[in-house]
Amino acid sequence: MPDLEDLLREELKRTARKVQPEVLRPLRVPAPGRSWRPRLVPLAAAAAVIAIVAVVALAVGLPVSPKPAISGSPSVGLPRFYVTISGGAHGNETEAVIRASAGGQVTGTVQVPSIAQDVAFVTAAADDRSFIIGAYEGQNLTSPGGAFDLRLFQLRISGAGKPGHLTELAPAPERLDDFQGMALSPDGKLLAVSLARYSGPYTIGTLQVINLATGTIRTWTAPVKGPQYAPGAPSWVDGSRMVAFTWLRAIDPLVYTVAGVRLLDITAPGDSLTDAKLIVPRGTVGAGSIKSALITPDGRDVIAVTLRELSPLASSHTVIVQIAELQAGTGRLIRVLRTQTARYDQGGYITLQASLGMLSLGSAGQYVLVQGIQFGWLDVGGPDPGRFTLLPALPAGQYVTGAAW
Amino acid sequence: MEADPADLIRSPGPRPDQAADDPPAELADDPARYVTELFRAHHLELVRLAVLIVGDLASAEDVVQDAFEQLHRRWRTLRKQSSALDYARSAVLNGSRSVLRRRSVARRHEARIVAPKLPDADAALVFEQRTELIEAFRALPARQREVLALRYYVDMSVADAAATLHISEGAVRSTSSRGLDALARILPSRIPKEP
Repeated sequence: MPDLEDLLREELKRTARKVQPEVLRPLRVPAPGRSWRPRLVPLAAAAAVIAIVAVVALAVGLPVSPKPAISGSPSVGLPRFYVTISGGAHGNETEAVIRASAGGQVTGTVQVPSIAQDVAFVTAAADDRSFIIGAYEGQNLTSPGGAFDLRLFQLRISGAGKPGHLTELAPAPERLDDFQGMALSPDGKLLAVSLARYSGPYTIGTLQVINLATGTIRTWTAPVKGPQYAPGAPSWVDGSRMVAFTWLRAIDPLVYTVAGVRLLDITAPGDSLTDAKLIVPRGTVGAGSIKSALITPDGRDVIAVTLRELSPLASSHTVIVQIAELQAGTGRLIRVLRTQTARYDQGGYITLQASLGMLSLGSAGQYVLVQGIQFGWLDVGGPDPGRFTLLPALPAGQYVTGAAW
Repeated sequence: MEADPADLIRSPGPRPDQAADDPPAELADDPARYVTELFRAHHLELVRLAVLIVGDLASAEDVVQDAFEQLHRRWRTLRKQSSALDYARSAVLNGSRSVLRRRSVARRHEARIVAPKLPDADAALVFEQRTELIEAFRALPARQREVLALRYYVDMSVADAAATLHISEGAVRSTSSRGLDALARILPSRIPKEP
């Protein structure tokens, strides 16, 4: 294609030439570095403090109590409260908002110290009272280079849904470049975190299980050579023994396609994510392809949200979003629980794609918080499968990216 | 098309065993100074390369500054299997990739539908008057953009592009071919028909 090559060469140079020397900011020469030796003492002290905090403050783990009885609840077994992450009233902060599941009324809010406005992550314990919130710390998300950290906080709420203070947890995942999600085990002691690190052109998909009582962290990684994969949002199976996650194929920087769902036995030896068994193969499910999935606590079913775009070449996008129940092990479609069709402009479509998610499955596996075309809860294993109830979270037109119950 | 001095700073030329970009003798014992001189000499070219990948000037400048600081810190520990300018270009491409990833993270987690913001007025300079071909180029996957930018903006050989990107020459050829095919598909009306 010599003509195209010439044209491309000419256009690239013309575009690059728009950057002229006079508009460049001068390079800043870094200050000479200090010796690392003097820093050892404060580092050691900090490490000691962290260790003590980890052992003493977290030795009891997260309390697990029986689910409270729900009087007057529209659905037996529905978690009483859910937490969403949103921007604060002043528009420059991040808040965790606690709402009653029955009517959606706000019972309390708490500020989350995240460097990225509106961006934090939440997972719930089975006791309907405890939540873990992950917040970014480090460089701004849009700045080049460097990774960021995830700070973990425990949020306890009262029986009336009133929040206590956030308590920072000492153990934290390793420094990361991308975060897919986290899930607290049913006993509240283990936190599974799906993340990715980047090394040059390589994506290193990583799953970490953090023991919140002892601070120990176990890590599994995806192979770097060949096609690169990362684990999607995790969910727990069989108590605290197994973790399921969508298996994401890295296509481009942070562009993933779902290549199935895997199940990892965390009690087995090994540190490779490929040891995890493929329980849902890649492929079309119902009307579309899987965007996000959670496994039910008994490990029998996978609840997935799927997307299909009917008009990929048009300027507006007509999409079908479905929530489907699949058989874990074979991926066979058991039933479609909900189907919605909607039309979006380009911006709306991109946001929808980025937001679709199975956000949180109640501990009994009956009701799931889901961001489909709308945000709400769906009966997936209760008395009325497929029943969807809208929940208030953010103003109309906005999407929930972090919610749990 | 008039020549631009920065366009003349192109492929690294001889491979490192020929020592084209190795520090001159007077700077060999002062690596920090050498890296500083290298970046000053190639600042414009590196920013332009980053602009082609990330699409805006402010981010491109940040990427180059970051790469400069990174090499400034790490120069002594780098293996001299490639030229200094290759290292700089690799660092700039890695930084550009990181910017794209972070943008994707921010976009993916963005809870609100908002119009994309340009970092500052300078950024508009690069966005305005973009041609159809550049729009199509910007829509390519990052790896294809990197390969095409090295091959057709920096005018690197396949071998040099492979060394800079730490991939095989075959991968450079196939990625380049896929990128050109994609551009040809996107822009059939712009490509003159071969006789």
